[in-house]
Amino acid sequence: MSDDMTQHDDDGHDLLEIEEMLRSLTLDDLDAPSPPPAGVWAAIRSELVESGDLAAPVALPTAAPSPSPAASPVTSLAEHRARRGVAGRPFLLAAAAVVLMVVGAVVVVATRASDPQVLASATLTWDPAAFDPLGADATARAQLVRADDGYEIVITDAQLPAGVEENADLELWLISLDGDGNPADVQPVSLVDPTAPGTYAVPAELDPDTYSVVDISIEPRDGDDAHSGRSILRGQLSA
Amino acid sequence: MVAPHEPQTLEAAFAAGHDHALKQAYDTLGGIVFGLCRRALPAHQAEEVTQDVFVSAWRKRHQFDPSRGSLAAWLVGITKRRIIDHVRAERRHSDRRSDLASDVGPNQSGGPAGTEPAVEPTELDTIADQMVVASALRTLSDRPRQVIELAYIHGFTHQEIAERTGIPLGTVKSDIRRGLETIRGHLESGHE
Repeated sequence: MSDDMTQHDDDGHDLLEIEEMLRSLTLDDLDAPSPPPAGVWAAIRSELVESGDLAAPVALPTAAPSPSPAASPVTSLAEHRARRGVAGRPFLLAAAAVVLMVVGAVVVVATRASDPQVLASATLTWDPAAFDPLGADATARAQLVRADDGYEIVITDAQLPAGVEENADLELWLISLDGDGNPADVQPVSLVDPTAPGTYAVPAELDPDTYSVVDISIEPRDGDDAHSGRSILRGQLSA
Repeated sequence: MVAPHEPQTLEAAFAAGHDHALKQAYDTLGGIVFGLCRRALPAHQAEEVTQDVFVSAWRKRHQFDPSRGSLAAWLVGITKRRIIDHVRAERRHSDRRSDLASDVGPNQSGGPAGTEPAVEPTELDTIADQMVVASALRTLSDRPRQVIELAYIHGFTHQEIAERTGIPLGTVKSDIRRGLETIRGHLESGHE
């Protein structure tokens, strides 16, 4: 490789060319380009892990566990998700769940103070072990609010995958759990516009105390109105 | 071994195959790769090609030599080739579809709507260079960046810049010179 060391001078740009390129830039060009849409990173990662080109991510030593996500400010949340996604480490999941619960509690307190209509809220999260990879970068919060004639679910702070798949929509569901915490029944609430999620009326026959888990899924337009099984986000409403 | 320009930590880590470097490269350069794809391709194809670029870059990371050029320029080089391959494949595909659909030649408007690339390969080179230059400019520290923006984007003379900013004329000139050298370093892929 040292043979090529002088190549920069041979095939490189001269400074006049650089100046010319700079002059051709507009102010808009100076802004950092938008990152690729949600889901691209997850697809890259899973393709490389599947082919064995990327080692199972960042094994944490079993004898001396690394700090919990909350204590690792240098690592992005997305990275944690990605790590959990492949490694599926229960203790990390548990730690993350605790963090989310704490965050959730703060949110509830904060929103309740400012908005007395909010009865419960949930931070919706992607489960790498069970959910569709397209949800890897998705985030959202859900609030249960009292409406004039029933209840509504309000989706806020959402980053949802838009246009990830032709002929598919996002759909909002409410799920009831059995005594063991497993889904007992799943009921559709509404399609969700990923670019403008908003407020959705809870069907009158559903008791939000029972149907207390909010789920968002990818639903192919295949004429089957049952849940596709491809969830991207889910969270338990809590007061 | 003396490198023509200082290898970045990220670039060394990428070449060495450290897992975290891939994510870091994606976070840092994913926008350029996707942005370039988006200039030439419809959104969903741009996503596919972006995925392809990072997958193949990681698989052939041993071909990337940080002492010979920047990771940005290397990735952009891969991106350009992938875009061109993709556009050609799409054209062949749509030509066949057009032939099947009617007797009208597929080239009357350059190709069917929806798959038509926004740019030709030569334009792609220019756009790619501009994006790398803009990204290199963003890596400069505040003063040289400001000086270079004033000189080349706003078109002020060195003297005017010195008067407007209060930065001594000699410093303006040396900031520009050093800034241009740095940007040139970013543009070199050294792997073409």
